[in-house]
Amino acid sequence: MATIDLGKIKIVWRGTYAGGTAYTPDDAVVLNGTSYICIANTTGNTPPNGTYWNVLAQAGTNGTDVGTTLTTQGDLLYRDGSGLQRLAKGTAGQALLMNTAANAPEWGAGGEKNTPAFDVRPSTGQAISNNTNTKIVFGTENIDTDGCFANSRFTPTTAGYYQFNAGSGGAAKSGYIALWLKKNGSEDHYFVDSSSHSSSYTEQGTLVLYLNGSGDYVELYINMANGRTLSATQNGSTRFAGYRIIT
Amino acid sequence: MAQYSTKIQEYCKANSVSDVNFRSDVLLQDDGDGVVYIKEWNLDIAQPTSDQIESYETVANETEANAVDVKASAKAKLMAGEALTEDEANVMIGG
Repeated sequence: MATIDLGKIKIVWRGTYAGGTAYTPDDAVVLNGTSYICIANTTGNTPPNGTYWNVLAQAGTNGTDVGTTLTTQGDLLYRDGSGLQRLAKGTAGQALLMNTAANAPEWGAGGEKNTPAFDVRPSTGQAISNNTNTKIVFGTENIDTDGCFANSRFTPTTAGYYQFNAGSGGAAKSGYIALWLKKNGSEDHYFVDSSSHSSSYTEQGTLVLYLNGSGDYVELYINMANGRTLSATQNGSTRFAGYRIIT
Repeated sequence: MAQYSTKIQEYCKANSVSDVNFRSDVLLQDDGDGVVYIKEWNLDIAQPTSDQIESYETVANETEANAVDVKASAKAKLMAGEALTEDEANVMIGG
C-alpha cells in the first residue's frame, strides 16, 4: 500500500537549542528566552538565522525583581529612564516631592507652615503717658515658633507676607486711641486710630505686611490722649500676634 | 509729676500757641523705657529745651488738677441735665 508523507502534523518541541543537534522543519526550540520554529533542515545554524528559523515568540524585556529592589519597610518603587528603582523610605515629617529635574521623586521638607509665628503680651503693667507715641513692651511670649521675637520686636528670618493682629483695651477713656505697627522704626501702619470711648473698650485690628526675612522688623506702638497703664494679666486685653501667610 | 504733654502745652501757651495737636504739631515718643522725649517738632515757635519743659512742672500740675475738677463738674452737670462750659465739654471728649 502506498504511503504519503504528510510531514509533521504538529510542532515538535525540542527544548533548548543545541548546536550539535539536527533539526528538521516544525521542530521548535528556545534560545535566550525566544522560541523558534525550524523552517529548513539544519545543524549548527543558531537562531535567529533566518534561513533556518522563524521566531515563534519573542522574549520580552527583562523586568526588575520588585522583591529584591524593595528592601526595607516603607520603601517606594518608581521608574527612571532605565527601569524600576527604589526610593528608600524618608524620615518622620518628610513629604514626597519631585526633584529639580522633575523626573524622579525624592523626600523633602514637609508641607509649608504658617511660621514664623508669635503671640505675646506685656509681662508688667506699662504706664502710657498722654499724647505720646509709646512702644509697647512685651515680656511674655505665649508663642515664638522660630525665636524671631525679642526685645518687643518681631524680626522674621523668612521672607513673606505676614498677618498681624493687635489689640488693647480698658475702661472708659476720653480722647483718641491709636494703635499701629512701626516697620523698621519709621514706617507706620495703623490698626486703630479712633476717637473717644465713653464705655469700656477693646480696640483691635488686623493688617498684612511684607517683611523681607533679612532685617525687616515690626514693633507695636500706642498713643492715647489720656494715658493709662496697660494690663499685664494673662487675659489682659493688650496682645500682639502674627504669622507668615502661605502664598 | 505732670504729664510731659501738659508741660509742652503750657510752654506753647506761654509762647502764644493755644492749641497743640500731638498727632502732627508735636510728636512725643517713649521707646518703651518710660522716658518721654520730643520726636518731632513742627510748630513755628522754638522747640523747648529739657530745662524749659521742666520749668512748667508746677503750672502743668495745676492744669491737670483743674482738669480733674472740670471733669467732675461736667459729670455733675450732665447728670443734672445742665449746660456745660466749653472747658467742661472739651475735657469730656478729650479735646
